[in-house]
Amino acid sequence: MNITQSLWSIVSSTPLAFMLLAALVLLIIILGVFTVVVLQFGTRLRYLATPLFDQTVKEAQEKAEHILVDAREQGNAIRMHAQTDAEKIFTDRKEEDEKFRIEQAVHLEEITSHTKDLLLKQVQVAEKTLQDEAENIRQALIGEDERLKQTFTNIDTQIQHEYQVLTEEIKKRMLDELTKEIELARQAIAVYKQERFAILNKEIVGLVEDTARIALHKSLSLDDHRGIILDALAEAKQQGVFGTPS
Amino acid sequence: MTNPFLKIFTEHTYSRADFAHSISLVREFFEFIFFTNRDASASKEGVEQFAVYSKKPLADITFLRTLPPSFLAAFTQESLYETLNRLSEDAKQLKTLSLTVPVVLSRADVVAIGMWAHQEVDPDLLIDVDVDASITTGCRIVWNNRLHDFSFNHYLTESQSALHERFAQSVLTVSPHP
Repeated sequence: MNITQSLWSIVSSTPLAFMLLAALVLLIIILGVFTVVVLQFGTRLRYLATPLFDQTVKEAQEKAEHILVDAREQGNAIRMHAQTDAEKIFTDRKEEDEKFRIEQAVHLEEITSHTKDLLLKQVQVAEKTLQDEAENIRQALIGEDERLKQTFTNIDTQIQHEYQVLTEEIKKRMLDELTKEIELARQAIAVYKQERFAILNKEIVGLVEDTARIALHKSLSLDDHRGIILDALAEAKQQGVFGTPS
Repeated sequence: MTNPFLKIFTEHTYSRADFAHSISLVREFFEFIFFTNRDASASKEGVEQFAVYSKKPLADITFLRTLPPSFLAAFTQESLYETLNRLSEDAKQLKTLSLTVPVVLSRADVVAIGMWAHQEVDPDLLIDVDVDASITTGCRIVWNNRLHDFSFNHYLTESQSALHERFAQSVLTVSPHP
């Protein structure tokens, strides 16, 4: 009984599943030991204490059967309880999940709504800021425009003045360059004329010769040539080519 | 002039070309007389027979007709070539009036110029005529190895300065911008 109590105390202090398993293992060990003892000392006990033995065995068998029935019942009860607990846990988890999902959806909607509101506010702020900046820029541009107009007017006046000065300068330079170019051209023409005159002077005799040759060969007859040759001979004689001049 | 036959030639021959032609003509005449089996003699009749035989131009026959009988009688069959060679050699010693003319002259023109030269310069000279088309008109004369230019080109060159002045005046008086 002490052992049983000790075991029960141990069992009661341990978790239910482990306790059940330990009880089964212990029961199987006990049955094994008992079977070995019975097999080892069966004959001897049979002869020495058969009646007691039988009684003891019978009681033990009954106890064992009782224990087994109890254990089986307890196991069933434990399994049922565990199954019930498991189902309950599963149901609870499912409910928690559903609840969490619903909460998350609500929370998401809240976040979305809040984000929309926030964005809307930021957009409005940004629009307002932009409008303010645009107005500031417009006001600034109006002021700058007047200043720029004045500046451009000044620049335009200055440019016109400088343009007039530059135009006068360019006119003066162009006039000077043109005068120089005309003078150079005149000099070049004079040199060219001189060169051309020199060339013509060189060629004029040849040109007249060629022209006269062509013209005279066409116009002079043999008698004319003979007369000219005789005149030339007469002149030669007159010049003393053949001796004492006449 | 030591060769008396040379005078006969120069009286009727004025250029060296005509002289060579006359020598050739005389040789043909005497070959006809001496080396053909014809009853012909070196005389006026022989000249006429040669004229009929050779059908030479009238100018050639006229020249043969001008040869005196003494000239014709001086040639024999043996002395023919020697006499003609001597005539050719002696003709080289005659004075030559070289003329360069612009055109090819006719024989009559050459004769006219030769006659003038014989009359005005030297009755025994021969003229030598060359043609140079670059001479416009007039002539160039070489006498005693000296050139005397009486061509139009020469006169033009002499008048070159005056020509240049006239040309410059003409160019300068023309307005460049009509």
